[in-house]
Amino acid sequence: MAMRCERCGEHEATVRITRIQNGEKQEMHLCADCAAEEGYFAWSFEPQFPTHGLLGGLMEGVSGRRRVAVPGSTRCERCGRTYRDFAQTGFLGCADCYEVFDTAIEPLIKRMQGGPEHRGKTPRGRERSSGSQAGGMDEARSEGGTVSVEVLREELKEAVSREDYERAAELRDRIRELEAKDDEG
Amino acid sequence: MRGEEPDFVRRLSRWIEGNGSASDIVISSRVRLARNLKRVPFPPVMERGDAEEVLEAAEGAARFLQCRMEGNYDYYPLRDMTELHQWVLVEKHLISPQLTKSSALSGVTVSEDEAVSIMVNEEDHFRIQCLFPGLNLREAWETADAVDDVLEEVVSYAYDEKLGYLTTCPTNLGTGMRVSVMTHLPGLVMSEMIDSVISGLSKVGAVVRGLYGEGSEAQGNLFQISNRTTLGHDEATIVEDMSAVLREVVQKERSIRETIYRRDRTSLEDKVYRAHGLLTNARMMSSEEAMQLLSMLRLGIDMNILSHISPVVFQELTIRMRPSMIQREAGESLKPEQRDVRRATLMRERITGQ
Ligand SMILES: [Zn+2]
Ligand SMILES: [Zn+2]
Repeated sequence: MAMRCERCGEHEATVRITRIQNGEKQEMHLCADCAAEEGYFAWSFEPQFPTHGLLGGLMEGVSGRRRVAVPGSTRCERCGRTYRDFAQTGFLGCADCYEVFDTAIEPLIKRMQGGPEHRGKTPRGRERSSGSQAGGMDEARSEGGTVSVEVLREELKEAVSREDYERAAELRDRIRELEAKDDEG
Repeated sequence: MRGEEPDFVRRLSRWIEGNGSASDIVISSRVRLARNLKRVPFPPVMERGDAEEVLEAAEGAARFLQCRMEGNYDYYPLRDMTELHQWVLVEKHLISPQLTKSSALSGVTVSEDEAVSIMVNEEDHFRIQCLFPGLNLREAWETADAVDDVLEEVVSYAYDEKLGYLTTCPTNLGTGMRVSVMTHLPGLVMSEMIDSVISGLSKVGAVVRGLYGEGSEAQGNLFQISNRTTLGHDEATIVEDMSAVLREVVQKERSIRETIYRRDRTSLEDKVYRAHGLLTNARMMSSEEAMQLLSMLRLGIDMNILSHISPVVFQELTIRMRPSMIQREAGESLKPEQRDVRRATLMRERITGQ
């Protein structure tokens, strides 16, 4: 019996896509059209493998078949994403979600990642606070005092559009500083 | 505006033309960085206004790149592009098919040599990607790093001291870096050693993907090898580890090719010449058949059986044979049978014409 395409369920599956991860083989059967649309011929991208299934499975698997102790209705105030949304899609909705769902994400990281902590690149604004490379940007900036971030953003947009990059870099720095203060406060 | 032919339609990407290190086995090296803006919700929950804000930031960033980096950087909102032109970008490996699904709210910035592309509003706000020919992860990483530095001057990234760059999916967390190397491994496939190599790779933190025809060999004998984890190691370590893994794969493929050549030269030559014969004579050819034959042709070139053909014919044709590229060259949309005819013509002309 000919196998149906797992994506459209209509055409005959003529392409078998295999992925091997952690020694586990996963297979997907698609018709040629669906395979092309899903990017399996555009091989320099990560094809959209059903990560949601993978993550969902992992979430249940982490605590050995028992559900992670996060109610499905737990919700991120900022973006509205619920834990259920995350478990189903594998996608978070905003930076805050990482805090809201941290008890669920932590075991997930342990299982999937190479370590619990980031050891790579740091955004420059942060490097500067620890006194390292500023990367040749103009350090001179006036202390603006009460200027709001929004005003500076507008100015930045303008500077960029008239291709005044010196000024843009300066403004960028000031916005960063203000935002950093924001975060601390 | 829509439909006007963008520059990328007619030129070939640098990675196709160049050859780079271990290019008899490694087709291309790609590094991508996933980045999100701090103040904007991630693409899956983004509203229209949020998306527009990201597009605007991307447009500004492209101007900034133009000024800071070498060569031109062009930003294109996908909605200003015809569907066909979007697919040309997909088939040139500059954007993912995923990006075209939200074309009203997505965009791309492409460098003149097409070594750098930045997808905007795909799974993450920005996906910086650098694609180089051959095995060249270090240069790809250095370029991605430099582009990232420039972008960071005009946007604030979502970043956490402990978790690193915050991504839509936790599988990309930390460095946000995915390294992908496209390898051509006909020797390992023919000798049936490929499965053990793949399972070996998966034990050292690599993920391997192949494209298979139902019940047969991997299509075109192409395998994409990527790093599995993004958090816990720094970028340079990931690049070095993956490079070491890849050097080993290259070594294995080379030695098996030599063995096959020594033991079974006639049968290898037969496969190569048959592929050449079909490619230069057939009148209709499907994508699947063409991929398989091109793989044999390429092997013949790399093993000096066919010394008069340039190896870049392989990269070029695997791109130009794709449906949307065929239709772009034809200047009209075509039925599958018409495409098969055109594809066969393309193969004949390109391979004999050089
Ligand atoms: Zn289908
Ligand atoms: Zn959220």
